[in-house]
Amino acid sequence: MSDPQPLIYPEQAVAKLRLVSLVKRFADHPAVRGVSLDVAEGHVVVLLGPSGCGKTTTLRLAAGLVHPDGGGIWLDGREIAGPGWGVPPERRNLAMVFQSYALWPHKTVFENVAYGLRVRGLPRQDVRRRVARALAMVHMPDLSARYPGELSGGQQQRVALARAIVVEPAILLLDEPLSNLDAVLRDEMRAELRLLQRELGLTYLYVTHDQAEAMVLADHLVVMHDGTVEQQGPPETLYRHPRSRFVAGFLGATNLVEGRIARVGPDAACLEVPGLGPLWAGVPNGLRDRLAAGAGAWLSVRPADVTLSPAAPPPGGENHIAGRVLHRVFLGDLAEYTVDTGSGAWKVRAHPSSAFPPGEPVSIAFPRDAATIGLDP
Amino acid sequence: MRRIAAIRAVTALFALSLAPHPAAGAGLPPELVAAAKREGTVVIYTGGHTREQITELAKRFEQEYGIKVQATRKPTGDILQMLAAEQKAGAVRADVISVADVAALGYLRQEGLIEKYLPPNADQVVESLMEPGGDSVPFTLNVLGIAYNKAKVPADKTPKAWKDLTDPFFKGKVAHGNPATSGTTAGFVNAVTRIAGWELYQKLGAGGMLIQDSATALAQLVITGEALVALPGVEPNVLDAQKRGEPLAMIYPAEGVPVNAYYVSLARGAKNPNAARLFVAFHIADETQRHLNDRLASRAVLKHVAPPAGLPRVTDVKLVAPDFAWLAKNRKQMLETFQGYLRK
Amino acid sequence: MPGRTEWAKLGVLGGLLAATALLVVYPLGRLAVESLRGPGGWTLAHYVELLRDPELRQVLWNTLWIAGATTAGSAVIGVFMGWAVARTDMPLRGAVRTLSALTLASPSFLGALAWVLLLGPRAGKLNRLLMEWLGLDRAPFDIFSPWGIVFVLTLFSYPLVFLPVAAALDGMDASLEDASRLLGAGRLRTTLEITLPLVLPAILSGAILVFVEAMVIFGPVAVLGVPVQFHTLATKMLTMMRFPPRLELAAVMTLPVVLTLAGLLALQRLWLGRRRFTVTTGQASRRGLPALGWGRYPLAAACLAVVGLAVFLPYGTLLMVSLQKSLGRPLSPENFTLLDNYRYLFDQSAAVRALWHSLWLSAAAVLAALALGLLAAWLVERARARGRGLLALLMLAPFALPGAALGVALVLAFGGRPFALAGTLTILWLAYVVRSLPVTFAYARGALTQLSPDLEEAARTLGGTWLRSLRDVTVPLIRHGLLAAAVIQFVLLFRELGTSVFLYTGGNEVTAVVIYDFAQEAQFTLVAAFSVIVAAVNLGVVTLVRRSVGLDRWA
Repeated sequence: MSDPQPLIYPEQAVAKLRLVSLVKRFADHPAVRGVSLDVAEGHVVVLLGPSGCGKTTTLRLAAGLVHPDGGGIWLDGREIAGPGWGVPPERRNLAMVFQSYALWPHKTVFENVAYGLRVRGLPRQDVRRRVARALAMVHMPDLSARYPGELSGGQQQRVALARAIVVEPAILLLDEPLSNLDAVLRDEMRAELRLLQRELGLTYLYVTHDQAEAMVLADHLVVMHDGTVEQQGPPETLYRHPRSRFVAGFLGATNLVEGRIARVGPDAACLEVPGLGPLWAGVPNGLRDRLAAGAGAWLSVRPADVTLSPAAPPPGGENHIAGRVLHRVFLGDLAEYTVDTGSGAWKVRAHPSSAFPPGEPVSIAFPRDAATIGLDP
Repeated sequence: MRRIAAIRAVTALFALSLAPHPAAGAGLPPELVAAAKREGTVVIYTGGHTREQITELAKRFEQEYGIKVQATRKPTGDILQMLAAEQKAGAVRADVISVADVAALGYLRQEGLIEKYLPPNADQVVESLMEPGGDSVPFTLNVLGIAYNKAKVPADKTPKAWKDLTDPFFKGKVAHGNPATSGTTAGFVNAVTRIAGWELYQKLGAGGMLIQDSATALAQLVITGEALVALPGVEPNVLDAQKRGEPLAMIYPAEGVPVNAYYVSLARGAKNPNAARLFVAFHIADETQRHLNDRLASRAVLKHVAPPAGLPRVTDVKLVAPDFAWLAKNRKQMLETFQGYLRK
Repeated sequence: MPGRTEWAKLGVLGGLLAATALLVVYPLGRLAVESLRGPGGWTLAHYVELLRDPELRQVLWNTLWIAGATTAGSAVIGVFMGWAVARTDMPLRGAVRTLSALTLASPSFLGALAWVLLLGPRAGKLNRLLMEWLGLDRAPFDIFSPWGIVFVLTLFSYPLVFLPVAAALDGMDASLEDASRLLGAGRLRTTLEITLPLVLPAILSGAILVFVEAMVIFGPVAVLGVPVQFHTLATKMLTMMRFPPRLELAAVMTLPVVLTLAGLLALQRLWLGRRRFTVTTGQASRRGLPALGWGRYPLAAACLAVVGLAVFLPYGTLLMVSLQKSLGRPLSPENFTLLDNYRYLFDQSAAVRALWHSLWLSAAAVLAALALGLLAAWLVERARARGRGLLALLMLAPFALPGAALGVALVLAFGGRPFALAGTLTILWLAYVVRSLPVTFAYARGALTQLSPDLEEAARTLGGTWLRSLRDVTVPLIRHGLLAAAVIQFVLLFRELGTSVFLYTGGNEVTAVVIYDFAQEAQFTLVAAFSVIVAAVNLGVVTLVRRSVGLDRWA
């Protein structure tokens, strides 16, 4: 069970949904093992993790489709779930967009979107008006008489979205809604989702396994692994200062090396890495107390933060490593190098105009505040 | 002179005594018997045998001649349907056909499915049983009386005459076969109305008779007591059931009891014509008839054979055969009259 | 120039059409031809005779009434139980499924006879009990009535709706219901607006089968209706056909039923319309079963009550009778025998042979019918070819044929030259294949309706041939539906009486024929014993298949 991380919000925010120490066990495995997080009004909270990490189960716990075995859920200050019980989904005023869209094939687009409103007993006029508005918001105004089977994947996704937002839910739950779309459509929809959220002031609890998506959408990112929360906070913080190897590796390519703590300073520490020498890096809050000289630790620095220069570093420079170029890959807006340091290969991203051919001796360096030191639990 | 005549007589007698036993070869020429054995198999479609009868006959036939009997046993109506279909397809497989009533026989004749064949000892059969068409021979005789459930009918209510059935005690509890589907029942109705008149059916119909197409359900109704009486009560069936412990018994009203015979015929264009003839003849061979009569309680049709033990003699009971000639012409009418009485 | 794979596809489909033509069109055609022939050449006299019959109107009305009431009852029970078994966590779900399949294992007349023993107005055991308990002097139920027929037929037919509906619900993506619940609809509304409408294709297919079967069924009407002058098309016509044999009537009688079937299929198409029912898109869908709380137990009780009426009571009665020496006396120490009846059966080589024949004939026929049914379903559902309505009708037409009529058709078609199959096991196998086409086709079609075509197309674009995509993608995805069809049809073939009796000629007996034969001789204790054996064998087969395929729901 990991400790709940405090919310880091730029402004005072109201927690609309609180999940506290949720536990859920299925017959053959424990899916969620102590997950706590808050969803603030008007924010996008993204649950990110590989498949099997428990993110979808957490979402379903929030939706009320399953009941927790331990812990509790509060919505707008009211307790709505506890061990073995929960307010049924139809009374939570949430809405969900499913990975498979879950559009009812036997109902037209209009009927699909209107369903939630009809269930709430709204008069016909209102229903028609609001459905039209919702469909317009997702850019699907003219297709209300069609059946889902007659629509493309992207169109189905928009209808699913319309169906969810038309009821003006307290929180919109989204379960990997973009994973079935092709790359172009995915980018487009991602932007639209963001826009919609801003326009309408919606609150999203969003699940995905795609870190790019998560980084783009999240106000608050929650990385999950094996049923627990590894780290949560603003995406940039997690990216630049991962607290676990998993988070470091999951959020993107990174250079990770192991060593022993040599010295601990006020806000940085020095890691002695065999073969690379002493490397200085920043130390996250709360971790400094646990650092002791001689302890085993690791260091992570993103390829984009590493600079590449011709061999022979200036004397007295910090965090310089000599190496030899192994590959160079031209990626359009940058060039990515793989550099052999003698104790492992480092990835470096540089300006596309740089040209260090394979075999060339180079020197790589990084500033200490671009790197993070972390401890294994 | 007289001595020569005497020697001739003795020689003749001696020759006669050396002649093949009537049962072996059934009086048929040895070449036919030999040809039959070479054919090796005979196919019979029968609606007119009980399972016991055909099993016994097949077993004895095979023992005697080594010819295998392939028997298909179904209700007569089903046999006729199948023959009709096979005939249309040009693929009749039967060598011998047996049916349970004369009307069915008439159909076979009319459609050209059978050939005339009377075994050599046909003259030993009770004349009144020989049917007018003259091409087939009966091999067993059924008495059709009243079958009743003796566990459910007290002794004082036991019917003795046909009109006793109209007693209120039996109201709604009389099960009757369907003359429209069963030739045996049609003949029964014809004979009974000649004995007891149509008023009998008028009253029974008014009380509510349970009509059953199938002998199955008819029997089940009376065995379980849903009905107290079943008409017609077919003697071998009732005896069979009794043997198994079912509480059934037969009544033979004194004023007259219908009879029905089962017939066996030679199929036209039989693939095994000699074996077929032999099998037909085997049915009324003396030994076979005695065996059926004594061991299976299946009445013999030969004049000189006494009825099975315990059953009333043919002469003690007034047997009434259905009027087949009349039936052939007026069947539809009779059925309509019968149906009319069933309307409540 | 079509490539090799196209030729293979054309070949297989062409083979299917040829087989259909041979098995369905040709025999039906011969039958139709027969109905138009008279002594003087071609004639409509037989049809006119049918139309002129004064009782016709009453008989037709009776027939439609029986069919309609049975269908309504079967649909209600079937849908209710299908939902209970597939979309709740009711206890004993598996048992209810397996036992329901057992209803299918006996000829219909057997059920009718068993119910006479239970609810006969004069001597029925249940009636007696009720009269004692409630102090009545008249039996409360009279099974010899149209309602009695509907009762027995509904219990006999509801699995034809129940099993496909359960299979369809099993395959449904649960998020469809989740979405509804999150939008504010409670469980009941979700079930009525989302769940059940989505299985409408399965419901309609099952209902059509029940309706048509109830129109032509002979057994229960003969046992329960005829004694009180209640006739349907089947009893009236089969009576007329009996003596003298009038084969031409077989086709005349079949015509109104086939027309009704065509009409129902057209209605079905209209109703389902262009709505799609694709719910299986190949993504791993969750299969969670919503919890019902304490409501599970009354639900289970209700389902068990149905199964009790359909299976336990009749089979229990048969079991009891099989332990008696004679039917007419009540069960008592003198009238009890544990093994005599069973031993007698096994001594009868015919009975053992019949069991053996039934088993492998049914298996062989079901396999052939599965292949044909699947291909036909594919043509009708995917290829959207012209004339597919006709193909669907041909596939379902055998249900509209009374058993004897099919027998006549087959003998006419295959009895003589060049086939010369009269009296063989082969012609019986052909009959069983034809008889099995409706169920396998209906199931395959239902399963394909729910399956998105994307999946097969994905396989094709990856380079697979049509046949491979069918084999590697389609079949595995609809294997539940196919397996259900196979098991159901296998068991159903044990019920088949009319055709089996017609084609029986001594060497090719099957269990239904032997049972019928014993019944004809009033050997009811043997009838009961053999029925119990057949039921046990079927139970064994169904359980074995369920276990070996490793499904915890054998839909």
